[in-house]
This record gives sequence, structure tokens and C-alpha cells, in this order.
Amino acid sequence: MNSKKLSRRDFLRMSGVATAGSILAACAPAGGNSASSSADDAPSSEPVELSLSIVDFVDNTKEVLESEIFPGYEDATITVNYTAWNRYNEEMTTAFAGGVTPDLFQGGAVWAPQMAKRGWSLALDDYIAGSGDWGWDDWFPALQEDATIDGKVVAIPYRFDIRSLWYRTDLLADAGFDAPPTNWEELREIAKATTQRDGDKITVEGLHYSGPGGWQNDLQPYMYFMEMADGTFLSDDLSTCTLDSDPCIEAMEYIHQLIVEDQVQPYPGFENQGDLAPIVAGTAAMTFSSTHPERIAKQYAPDVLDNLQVTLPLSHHVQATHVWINKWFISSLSKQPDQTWDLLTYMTSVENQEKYSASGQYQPPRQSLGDAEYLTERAKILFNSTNFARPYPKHWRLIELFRPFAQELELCLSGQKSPAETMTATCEAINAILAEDA
Amino acid sequence: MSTLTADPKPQATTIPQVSWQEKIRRWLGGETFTAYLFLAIPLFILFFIKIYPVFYNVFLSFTNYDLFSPIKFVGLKNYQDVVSQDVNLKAIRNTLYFTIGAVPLGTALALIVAGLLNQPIRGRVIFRFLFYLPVITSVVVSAMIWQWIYSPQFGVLNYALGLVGIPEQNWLSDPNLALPSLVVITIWGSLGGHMIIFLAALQDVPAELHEAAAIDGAKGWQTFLYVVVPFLRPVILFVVVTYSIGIFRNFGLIFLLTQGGPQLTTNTLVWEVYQNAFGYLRFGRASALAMVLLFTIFVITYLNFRILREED
Repeated sequence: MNSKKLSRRDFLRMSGVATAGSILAACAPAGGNSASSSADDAPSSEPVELSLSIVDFVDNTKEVLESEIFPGYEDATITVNYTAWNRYNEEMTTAFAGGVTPDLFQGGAVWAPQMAKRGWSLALDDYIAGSGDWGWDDWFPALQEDATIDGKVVAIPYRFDIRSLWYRTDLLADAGFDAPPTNWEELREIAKATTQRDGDKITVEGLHYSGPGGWQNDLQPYMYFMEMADGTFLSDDLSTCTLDSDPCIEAMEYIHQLIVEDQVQPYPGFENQGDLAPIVAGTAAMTFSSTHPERIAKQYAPDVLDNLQVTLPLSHHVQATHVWINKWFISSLSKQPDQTWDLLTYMTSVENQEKYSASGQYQPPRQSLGDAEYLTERAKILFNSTNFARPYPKHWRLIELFRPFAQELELCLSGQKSPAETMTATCEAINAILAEDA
Repeated sequence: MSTLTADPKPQATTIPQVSWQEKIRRWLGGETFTAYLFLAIPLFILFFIKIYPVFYNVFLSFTNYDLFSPIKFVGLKNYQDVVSQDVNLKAIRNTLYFTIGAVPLGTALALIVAGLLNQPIRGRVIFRFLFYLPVITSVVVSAMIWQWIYSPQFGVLNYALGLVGIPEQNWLSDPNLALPSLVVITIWGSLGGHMIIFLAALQDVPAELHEAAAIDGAKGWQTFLYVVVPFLRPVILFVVVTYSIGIFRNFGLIFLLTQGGPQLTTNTLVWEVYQNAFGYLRFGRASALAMVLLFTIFVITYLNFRILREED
């Protein structure tokens, strides 16, 4: 037998060719999603693979999903990418740009208009119409409205985050108040009275409006006041900024009074002590928040719970508060939209929605879950606040529109600009962005 | 009579005819082909990962690309936006402040620390390790550590300042302090890496130079300043150039600690690129900003070379 010795050079050459071939093969366009295409062609008895991106979870949620909810769904194999909010936008953007997306994914409060505008979410009206007793009517009307873009339902809310006024009964009692405020006048009076100082230094904030850190920290609480003043961020047709209208300026003037004139908190306000928000740590008498203070108090400071209460939204021109609504979207690139819808209805059925919401102590989007056992008395007050809820305007560039407002708010609350100047400058900047798209 | 005869024709050398197939076969079997083959792999990767994106970025900077609409050519509009919008001009300014704040001070400190740790002092290996530690620490961990150090109410820095009667400062929330605070973290994080480079260079300084300086009566710091530092000029140039480029690309700290705030005082070019690309899906404008970033790096690098390169 004629054996030939492989020289070092030949070996290197072959390795080089093999590597180059591998790279070319790896770079070649895929012949299609094998899992999906096989699923399309496969007999119906074969299980289908569905992929999910989940960003709203705590450890307990993950456990509930994997041990109680997913095992009950036998029509598909479910793979989940658990991710985090701080990288989620980039992940989804690159996923859609690359054409490989999860079938079902969660999205934040401002995502629905973006998803609809980009054509990334599937319209669900036909599915909802044929969904039998699944019960879309059970969702709060404000939540349904928020998920409807240009007359089409593009998402299904799974959680909402409603903020109302939390207060410390002990700190209010120390200042001579036995009931929480119900309107702006009372709020200002109590905030001033409960602010404690050591010389010039504030030691207890009468009202914790915002803390240091994130760029939306000042903007989010402004929304409650704007909505109580019956103002809006944009005109109804979303073409013009309305923050320079009288109600919006009135709201800004009120906040300016509280922070710059009355100094019921330093600016920026107190930071969290680790996970303890100032109201839980006892360094703030009142604040606007979701169920977060109670969750944290239960976990880290149970002795505080007796003094921690929440009230229904305050009134000014109207009784209102802001709601953040997180939603499920079915990807427009899903190869199995029908099966994905089936999974979505399964996950948001009354029983499974309750399990999911209870796992993280989230507010459930279904009205019928108002009596759910896991909801505490405080959580029920927040749940009922949903009747006064106003969501964000549905402009697809909302995050970009927020930015100039956030910058101007910083200038106003640090005393460098008057409220009227702030709102005028904000609207100029926002209208310039809106004009670009127009 | 002599007969002149023509020189005999020179003997023609017979060159064997080689077919083109044989030429190719030889070439394929030669070392040159092997070299090209191996070069092809990194060049292929380099082209698709580095070179192609740069040219594609140039192209995108003249479009309104937003991932989901058809690409539309918009001429110089994105560049006009970059130079006319206050937010972008602030980003350029902040980037330059950041570089000017961190590079000279950081380089000087690294050089001084390297000079000190080049001396035969006790425990210098431990000191070198401690100075180098931040370099191998993840930027996320560094950011968390400094977030606690800078915490207005619970931070060790304010506590220490309080002991000498200085009131609490909002290090990361005060528009006047946020950028300098990031500069300090950047210097802390990079000092060790530059120190190692300088240490290596210091060990190449000929002993004769030290001896000659000593004979001329130079004191220790004079020797360092007038003999050692000029000798290290090429290394200083290297550190300054790579340091400047590193700061222009600094993203992690801003993302984790300030997100461009307060009042846009830490809004740098690279953060603005990120915001436009992933926050607003304005890839055209983000590309134009990236081109401005590239151009600014070229200018800064050129200036560094002009100032620091060795005289002929």
C-alpha cells in the first residue's frame, strides 16, 4: 500500500482551507429556520417550538413559570430567554434587524406605538374576536385602550404599575395629621409640616418627589400632577406638544413651589438606602409609588408595615394618576402566530395570570382578579386606583420626546428656570422633533 | 588579410516551456499561496468586522436609516443636525473636557507612580498589584463601588469630608461635579495599566544616564524630570494616544452611573451615538455622530503626535 506522509505545510494548508470553508459556511444565509419550517410542514401531532423573551420577573416568577405554568401547556416546547430591562431594547432591536425574534415577547409602557409603527407586532383583533371565553372584556378599559394603536389591538397587557400616594402614619401623626391629603392644598400643607430639618439640612423629606440617578426620575412624577391638573403631554392627534398649556404649567408651578420654594425635599431627593426607598427607611413622609414600598418593607423592614399606608389618587381639577402598562407582543416575524396566540391566551387565562401576578406581587390587568387572595389591602387600593388611570400618549417617538423635557425639568427643579420658561422651551424642542417626522 | 567573420551567435539558453497549468500547480504548492491562504482568513474577518462597517457607516451617515423604513438619502442633513443641535455640541464639548481632564493628569500620575514603584522600596510588588487591581476589575463592579463611594448620604467620601467640616456633595447629580467625578474614576481605573507600561520603559533607561546626571549634581527629581522623562517620550506618546482613544470610547461608566446627566454634563459623543441608534433608532444621525467621533479622534491623535513626537 502506498502511504504518503502528510507534510507540515500540507497539514497547515488543509487546516486553512477547512477554516475558510467553515467561515464561509457560517456566513452563508440560513436556509430558513429549521425548527420553524419543520414545524410548518410537520404533522399536527408533532410538538411545536415557541420562543419567549421575558423581562418582567423576579426569582419567584421564574419558578412559577417553569414549575406551574409552562408544564401545563403541552402543545408546544417553550424556550425562554430571561433578560433585563437595561439591555432589552437593544436585544429586541437587533433581533428584529436580524430577522430572528422570539415568537412572544414582553414590552414596556411605551413600546406599543413603536412596535405598531415598525410593524414588529402582530395585530390581534381577529384572534381576540375568535377567542371565545378567554375574556378580553375582563381587562381594564384603560389598559385595553393603551394596547390599541390606530384602532388595532397590538398587545395584551400582563401587568400594570399604578402609582398613588404612600404615606407614613407615624410621621404624619408627629406633625399633627391623622389623615392623608386628598388634594393639592392638603398635600402642600402636610408636606411642609412633615419636613424635618437639622439646621439647613433636610433630614426627613415631607414629600419625596424624585431621587438622584435615572434621567426619567423627575419626569415620571410630573405625570401625576399634570394628569391631576387635567393636562396632556401631546395634542389628541399627537402632532403638537401641549406642555405649555395652562394645566401643564400649573402642575409645574405647583411642583416648583414644593421643591424650590418650600423645599420639602432637597434636589435631587434622597437616594435609596440599598433597597429601602426613603419612605420605607423613614426619611420621607410621603411619596408617589406603586406596590414597591410594601414589597420592600415586607422583605427588609416588616416593622415599618404598620406605619405604611397608601391612598387613592389625589384630586386637583380631576382625580387622576398615571399608569405604566407592560404588555405581551406576538412578533410579526413569528412562523407560528396561531400557536403563539394559543400560548398567550393560556398564559393570560384567569388562573395563570393570577399565578404570574402573584409571583411578583404585580397588579393584575384583569378586573376579575381584584379579589385575588395575594392582593393585600394596600395593593387593592392601588388596584382600584386604576379607575382613575391615565396612560402615556401613544406616540412612537415618546422616549425621544421625553428627553428634552427631562433636561428642562432638571433646570426648573434646580431653580435655574421658571415653570413657564421650562414648559415653553420643552415644547419648542418637542415640536422640532415632531416636525422632523411630519 | 584577416577575414572578419561575424561573431558566432550566442548560444541560446533553452528555457523549458512550462504550461500555465503547471505554473498554477506550482503556485498552489508554494509557500506564497500558503501565506496568502492564512492571511485570507484574518483579512476576511477584518474586512467584514472592521473595514466594511466603517464604510457602511459613512454611507448610513447620509441616510435616514431607521431599521424599518426604506433607506432614504438625505445628503448632509445628519451632519447639519450634529453641528446645529445643542445636545450634540454639548456632547462634543463634554468629550473633549473628559479627555483633557483625564489624559494629562492620568498620564502624569501613572508616570509618577511608576517612578516611585521602580525604586527598591519594601513591598513594591504588593503596591504594583494594588495599583493594577482596578484594571482587571469589571467596569460594572467599578461603577458599583464608586456609586457607593460617591453616595451623597451614605458614601465614604462625604463622610470623610464631613469630618473636616465640608458639607455633603452630590457627586454624580451636581452638574458641576458629575464629569470631574467620572474623570476620577477613569484615572483610577486606568492608572495601573499605564503604570505597567511606564515601569517596563523605566527599566530600559540606561544606568549610565542616571550616573551621568548624578555626576552633574542632579537631584533625584531633577534626574527624573530632565533625564528620564525625555527618554520616555515615545512611550508617553503611546500612552497619551491610546488613553485619549480609550476615553473617547468610554461608555460603560456613563451608562451605569449618569446616563448623560445631570443636565447633559456627562453626555459624551459615544453616549449620544448610543442614544440615537438604540434609543431613537436614528441610525443615520448616529452614524454621522460616529463619523464626528472618528474625526475628533484623528485630530486629537494628530495633535498628540505633533506635540509629543521626538524631534529629528
